Amino acid sequence: MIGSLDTLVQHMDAVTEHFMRETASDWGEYPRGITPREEVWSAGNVSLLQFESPADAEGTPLLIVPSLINRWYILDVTEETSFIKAIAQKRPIFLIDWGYPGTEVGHLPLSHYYHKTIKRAIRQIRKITGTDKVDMLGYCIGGTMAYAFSCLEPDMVDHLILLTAPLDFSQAGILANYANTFPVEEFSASMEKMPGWLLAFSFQFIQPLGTYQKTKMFHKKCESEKFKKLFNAMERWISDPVDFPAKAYYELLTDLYQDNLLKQGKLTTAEGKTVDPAARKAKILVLNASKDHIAPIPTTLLPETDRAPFTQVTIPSGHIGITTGRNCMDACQNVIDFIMN
Amino acid sequence: MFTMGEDMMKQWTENWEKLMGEHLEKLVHNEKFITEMSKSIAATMTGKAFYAKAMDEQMAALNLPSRTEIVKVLQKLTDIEERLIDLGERFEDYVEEQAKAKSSTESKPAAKPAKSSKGKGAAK
Repeated sequence: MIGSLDTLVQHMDAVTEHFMRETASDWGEYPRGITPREEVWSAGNVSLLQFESPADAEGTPLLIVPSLINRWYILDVTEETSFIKAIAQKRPIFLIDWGYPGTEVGHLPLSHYYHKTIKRAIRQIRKITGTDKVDMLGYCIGGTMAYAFSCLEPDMVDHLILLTAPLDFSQAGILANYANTFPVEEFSASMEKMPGWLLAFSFQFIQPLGTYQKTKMFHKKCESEKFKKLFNAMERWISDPVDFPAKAYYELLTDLYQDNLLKQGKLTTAEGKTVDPAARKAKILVLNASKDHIAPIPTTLLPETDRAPFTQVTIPSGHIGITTGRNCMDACQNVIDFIMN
Repeated sequence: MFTMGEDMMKQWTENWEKLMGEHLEKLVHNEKFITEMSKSIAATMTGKAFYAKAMDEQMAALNLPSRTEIVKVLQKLTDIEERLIDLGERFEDYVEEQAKAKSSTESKPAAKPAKSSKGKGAAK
């Protein structure tokens, strides 16, 4: 029995080594995002990217607000799974790249990102395209931020897509349990940022056997070229963590996870402006995932005070799978249908 | 014989996965585990703060800038950059408004001669 196990481990080692040797030299073939783009504006760490679109891709520009806790190119990781590439065929498309925030922005509040920066980005889009309104797509915490913005500036957003975006944090499952017991005051007194590696490590607790399952799947499918391509691209994305600015992280934990202020309509910006869900005018598509452990379906539902109409579509996948899994193009098609109508 | 061994191995792996999965799932949801882990993180962070403060004092004694001070300077620079962006935007808004006002006043004289020809308000 032990002999068999030993053989299995040796076999897995050999396969892994072979695979790593085979593909290590191809690392450059896995860029940070595959769709050609241009940086059209930047301020500090943040930059606004404009993606290449065909000349006939006209209409309201789409602004993508990615999550602050990881890199944006999960939405553009390979040709086969790219949301950005698919949407760019239909509409002009922009994206806020949060960059790699360091200690120098550790004192900026969360509202600096969900209000001030998004507003600045829209200002630049207006300069480029001449339109006053944009459509927005927010992924994960980026969706929470896009929603807060649409409540603060209801006249600036036409369509809003919330892609697995947590809004009701009391329902956030295991993450809410961890956030409620996290020593926020000690964190605030000692850290200038939440290190990306620590954030990545904490996600291991959500699916404790995740790494094992991944290794098992790798062992099973590593001969497939298609699988190898996506696996490598995903590994590159995973190994590119970002730090979370300290004050913004503190507010994320206290105002959102612990006190659930967004749902109650009590969230305020640093300038004292209230994020009122009842003020939202944008047409909303709530796109959630049935196997999502990070933003379970109840978390993604709109606050009760938000009575404006919305559409909800549930995709059979997980939080990351909705962007890169086998049903990701269904999710993407829902986005395209929603913004084109 | 080989097939039997392989089947046994498969069965064993499946059982192990099931047991480990259940055990770890219980563990990461266990309130006591979560509380103890938070306490451990809190202790680490308190230790870090204590160490950082001691380092700051040492650097001050050597008359050298500490890390905390350098971070504060960087954050001040960020604030200045933010302020400059805000001012830039306000200036752009002002220029835009002025341009609008100018274009509207330039379009008015075409209407004025008609009014003045009637002799109303010409002195004004």
